[in-house]
Amino acid sequence: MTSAGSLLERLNPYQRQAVLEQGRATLVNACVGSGKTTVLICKALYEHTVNGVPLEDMVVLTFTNKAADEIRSRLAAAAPCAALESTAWFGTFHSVAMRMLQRILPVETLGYTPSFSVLDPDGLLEMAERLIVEHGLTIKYRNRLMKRLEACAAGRTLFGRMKREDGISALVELLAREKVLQNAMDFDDLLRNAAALAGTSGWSPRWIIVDEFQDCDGAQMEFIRALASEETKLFAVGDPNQVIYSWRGGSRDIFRRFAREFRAAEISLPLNYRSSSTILEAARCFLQDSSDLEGTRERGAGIVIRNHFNPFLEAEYLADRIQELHDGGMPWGDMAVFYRMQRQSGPLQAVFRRKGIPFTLSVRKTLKDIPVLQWLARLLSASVNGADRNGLVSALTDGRFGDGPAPAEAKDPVGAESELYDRVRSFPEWAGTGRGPLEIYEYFGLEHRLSPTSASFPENRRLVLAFLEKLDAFCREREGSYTGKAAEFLNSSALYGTEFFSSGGEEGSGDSVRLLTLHACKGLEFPVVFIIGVNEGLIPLHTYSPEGREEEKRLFFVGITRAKDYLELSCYTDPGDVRVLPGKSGFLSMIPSRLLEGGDDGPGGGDIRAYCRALLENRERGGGGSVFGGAEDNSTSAPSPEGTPVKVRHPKYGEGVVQSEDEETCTVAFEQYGVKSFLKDFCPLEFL
Amino acid sequence: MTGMEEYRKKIVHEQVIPKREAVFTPFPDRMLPELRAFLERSGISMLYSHQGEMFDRAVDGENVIVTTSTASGKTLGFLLPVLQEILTNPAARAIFLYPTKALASDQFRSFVPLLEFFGPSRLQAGIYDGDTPSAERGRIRSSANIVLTNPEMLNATFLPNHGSYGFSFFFANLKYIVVDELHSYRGAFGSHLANVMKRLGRICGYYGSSPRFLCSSATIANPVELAENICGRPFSHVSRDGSPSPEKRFFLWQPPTARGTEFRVSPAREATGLLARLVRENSPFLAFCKSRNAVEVVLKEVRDRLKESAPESGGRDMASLVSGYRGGYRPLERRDIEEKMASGRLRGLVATNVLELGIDIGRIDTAVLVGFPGTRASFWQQAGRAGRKDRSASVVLLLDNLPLDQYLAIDPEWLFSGESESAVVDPDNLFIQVAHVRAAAAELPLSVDDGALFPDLGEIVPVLLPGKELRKEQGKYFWSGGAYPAGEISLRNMDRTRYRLKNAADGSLLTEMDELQAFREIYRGAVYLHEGLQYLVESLDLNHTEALARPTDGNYYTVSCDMTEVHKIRDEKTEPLGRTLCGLGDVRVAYTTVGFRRQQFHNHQNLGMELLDRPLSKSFDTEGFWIALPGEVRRLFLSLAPAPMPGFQFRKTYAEGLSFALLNAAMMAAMATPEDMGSALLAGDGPEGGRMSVCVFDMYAGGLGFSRKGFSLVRDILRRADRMIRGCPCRGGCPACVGDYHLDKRVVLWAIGSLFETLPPPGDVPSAGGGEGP
Repeated sequence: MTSAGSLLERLNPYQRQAVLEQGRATLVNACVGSGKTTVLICKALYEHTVNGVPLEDMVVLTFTNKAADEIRSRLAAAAPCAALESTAWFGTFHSVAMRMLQRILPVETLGYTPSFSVLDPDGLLEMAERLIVEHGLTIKYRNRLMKRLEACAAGRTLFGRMKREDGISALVELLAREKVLQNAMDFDDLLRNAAALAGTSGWSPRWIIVDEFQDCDGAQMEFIRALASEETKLFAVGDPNQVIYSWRGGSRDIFRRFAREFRAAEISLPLNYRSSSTILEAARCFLQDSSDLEGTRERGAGIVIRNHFNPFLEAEYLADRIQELHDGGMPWGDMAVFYRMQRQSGPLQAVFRRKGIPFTLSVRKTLKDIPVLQWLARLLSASVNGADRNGLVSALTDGRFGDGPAPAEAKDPVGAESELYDRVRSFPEWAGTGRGPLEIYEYFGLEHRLSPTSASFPENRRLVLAFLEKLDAFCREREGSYTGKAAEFLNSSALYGTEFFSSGGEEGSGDSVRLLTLHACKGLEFPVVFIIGVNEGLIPLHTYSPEGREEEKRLFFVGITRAKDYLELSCYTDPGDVRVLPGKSGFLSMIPSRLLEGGDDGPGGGDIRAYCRALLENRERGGGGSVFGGAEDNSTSAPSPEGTPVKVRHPKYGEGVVQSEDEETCTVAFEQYGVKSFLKDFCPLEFL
Repeated sequence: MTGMEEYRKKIVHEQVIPKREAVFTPFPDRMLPELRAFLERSGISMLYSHQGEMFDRAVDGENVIVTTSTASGKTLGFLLPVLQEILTNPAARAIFLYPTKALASDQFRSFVPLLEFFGPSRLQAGIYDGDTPSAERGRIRSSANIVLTNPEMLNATFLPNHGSYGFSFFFANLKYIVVDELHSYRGAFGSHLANVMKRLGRICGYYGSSPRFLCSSATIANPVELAENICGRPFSHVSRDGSPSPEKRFFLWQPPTARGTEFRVSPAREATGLLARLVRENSPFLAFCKSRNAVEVVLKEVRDRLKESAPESGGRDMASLVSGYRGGYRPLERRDIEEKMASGRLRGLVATNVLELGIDIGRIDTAVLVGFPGTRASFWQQAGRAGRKDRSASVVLLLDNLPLDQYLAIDPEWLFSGESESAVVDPDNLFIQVAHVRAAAAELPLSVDDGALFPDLGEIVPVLLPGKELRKEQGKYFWSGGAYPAGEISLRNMDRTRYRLKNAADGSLLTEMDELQAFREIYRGAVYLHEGLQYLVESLDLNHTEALARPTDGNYYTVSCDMTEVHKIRDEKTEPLGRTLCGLGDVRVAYTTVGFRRQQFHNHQNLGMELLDRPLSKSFDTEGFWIALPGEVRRLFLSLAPAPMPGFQFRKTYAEGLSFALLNAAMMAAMATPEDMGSALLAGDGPEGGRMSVCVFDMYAGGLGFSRKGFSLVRDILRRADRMIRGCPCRGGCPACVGDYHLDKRVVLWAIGSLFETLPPPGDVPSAGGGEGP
């Protein structure tokens, strides 16, 4: 067990002060690169090991499963006795809320049973669409239904240019009833219901520790409030400069509200240990108030800005560049590539894989991101749960894997004619106490449904079999009815996503280059960072408000401040995406040129006919060679060390004598054709 | 065809090509059982020998070019090895490349039984062109084994996007590239395609695939050479045709002179009676006309004839049994006509050469060629349309009042014994190469290996570097120029300005056409004919590229009076050439419609000429080279020029004869086709200017380097022209060497010689005071 001393001695005075703080509420205002995660983990460890707080009495709330896992594994390393089970309240807000609802909160009072299922946002939308049709509701802005439901939850029943109310309130009521009927909660329900019931359980934690506090939204604050009793101590760590989730309800003034509400002690961690002063100075350009960010490091290398033609050629360049750095001794894991949108990782993955650059792709993939698994999960869900009409309809009418959309004139979208329908209906009987992955694969005729001629077939097949194997393993480990266990498995995969299904084959292979979105790079650091696609439309993403653009700045700030020594930024001439504008985004011009290495390298331009004329003239003139780049200074005529002429043969011009050569070009005098210059890379010259 | 005897007087030559029996071969042993099952279910129990040969060679990994006749089952020949691959490996991909969208959609229809037989989990296919909706594009990229497309799509969509939208999977699994109608890719178009194929090869190499090529071509002199030039691989040639062919009788038909004159009746007028008769005899036919207008005039006249004779045929209206077919008909209209013809509900089509390509309209007994189509390759292609199983077929060529046509009456052997034309391409054309090197650089960084693909890369890269279009990184050259260099390439001379012709009565769209066609067909006052219906054009709005026309029912059609003029804009350089000067520079080529003639249907009487209020002129600037003619040559040429003649007799002048010979030699030197280069006398230094120059120019705005190459080789070209004229087997001069058999080739040879030394004109030619200096 770690002693308090060794735990604290690695901390600087600011950090130590934070860990030792024992007041009712503590707010740690941690600037970028100041050791926030270290403080958070030390805090949990310190309370557990020094103050003897049982892990079961701590709630540690994070924003990602990844962060929760990291804290858990660091805890396990530091305090091996800490059983996994006792960290049940360590995790994301949603997962902690779900576990509380399943285990200690009286969900029956809301009409649910503890075996409720979890509806992902798409599932919710489908349910809503179905209710709209069934009840003949009129809903405006139906293509933005999710936004409307959110607005309605916030009390706004009017939307856009609406003057009068439509059926949205009725829909919300119907949805609430339907969810109870189907024993399903959507993501928002988890937090809302947990908060509503928390006070009735009679239990409250001794500590609530919150990471990335700046990204908390109102519902999450409400959850914290409901959990905390008078005796509960609060410890929140965050950086107001890194608010990048305001689209999920995070807010810049959450710090102020928290401090006021809980009369929190405020502690700052101002020292950045991470980045070179050049990088830090560039980062400051994207802060509204950069006064409390102090660097501790030397100037370092200049920031490089590159213009690439398109994402594919950039990937080619990056692979070569990263290989070059690696050959120079840089471990793969010291390099990372950040991008704004997950889809941008496509070309990188393909090229890196082809060129043998080991990489780790960190994706938070939920079922929703993998169409084939989302479909399979619905199919299986409908198969094991006869009440799951949503799943049934969407699995059967799926255009890619199901039978396709039902004909408009069909009353019931689920035709009794369908073979798939019969399979779903007779599944429980067929499956009995359990079936193997391959049996299930064949039972549903999945080989055919995955379309063997399609490009995604091998990958889809692999994903489906892996998913079925997971299901199989899950069910084997547990007791109870097969359909019940399968339903449980399907719920947990709906909520947790399926990181384990990610296709980054090289995942977790130790030393590898990291590919991350700007949102996912939070909390990490690398000696070498490439941020790609700094075009308007990506960095920043198109936003409709000044606040949106400010948030994009903070996001870029987060990315920049991940870099320790070397930062390279890029933009595209042809982004290959209509939503993205070609050329540099405004953000790049906000970085003062004194921080940059190398000059401007915007795209060039030329005219084919002008090239051809220049080239032909040069051929006709049979000499000079001024168009052959850098050949004008043929002053350094150095035939050979000994002074004897070097003879060459050219397929078109015959034999000639080398007049001069440098790194790039070689100038040769031919008897018939005069003096010509050649680029060595493409030199068809044969040395005699 | 029965009763050709009736026309005996007009037939100047008859030739019979005997029947050919089918040669069958059993299914190859290694052919998959399911493929056999498909064939058997389609009623095929044996393959034609060439289909078997194609299968074996393709499966053994050879690149194959097949040159068997039209309708010899080439499509099935392509499909068998491709299907063998796909049925073994569902990820396999193949490109089927067609020169036109219409052909791709026609061919796709013949794939439908296959797709139904094998089902979507075994085989998928689709057309990917500019008209394909985006959802269908998505399906094709992800799942289609066979993609039917055209060279433009390869150049501008497939290759530039190889790294995105799932194209990488497509290229990585590409097993076959099928190029149908390979002979369409000649001259600049062919050179472009050769470069597109080089880029395709690079991309495939990058993804580790190495597709095989299967090509088909009509009869040309050099199919293997063409295939190897375009695809850059060695090819084997499948030429032994295993399909049966009935006996074919060829008739060369010389229209009679009009009563009391020495002028011959037009072939269109002659065709009318013949075609009407074929309809009545229920003998399916296909008539080829040389222009869109001719199609409509012939169609209308045939229908009128059939209406007139309705009482004789029992009152039955047979006019609806014949239809037109040409560019400008809507795709649905065309498809409807194709289907009716194939099913026998139509007895004949009057078409332009769009039907030369393998569009399926069923089999016919008679092909009627209303005028010689210009090349022997085209002639054989059109003639090949005739011939049904076990029925002898006829091909009737109606000779036009044009030099080449009339020459055939004198020397039919030229047509039947001579070889077809060669299809030339120059993959190394510098202008084209530079364009594709730029596009290639934007697809993958250029490296040393690419020097083998683009022979002038070592010279091209250094001119692109200072323009900042390339940047060197880690030993490779990355594209750093503007967006979409492939999009700057136009593979063929296509005018992107489209004119719409609308029905003024109801606002409906009648047709669309490009600008040059619009200036020749839908000027104010023109009668536009569409499927036999007449529309009088009321207005042509150049700003909105739209014309309005109202249905009409007149007794006349209109023929535009247009002219082509070439003006010199700028001398880039001039050089002495013997006794005279030769220059290179920019020229402006202008096509102008100045007015039109009204001509009565049936008797084709000229009802009068009308000038347009404002001439419609379309011009482009290009490069050309010219040779000034010495004074005595100019004078002799002028003195020998035929007096302007009324009517329909067209003869070339000596100046035109010389520029014709010069153009032929220049095209050979520059490896160009008549679509790439043209020749004319320079305007503005006509007779009164006291000068005369012949000019050879590129047919592409800005030029493609053909004339430039011609200028640098001008002495070779003159030598070659001299040799070609002397070496021509004709006696006095013929359309092949000097453009017209009326011309005395000695005069043309004298003119060429006179460029270098003062020569006496040929003895018996009336001299125009030759012998003096220029």
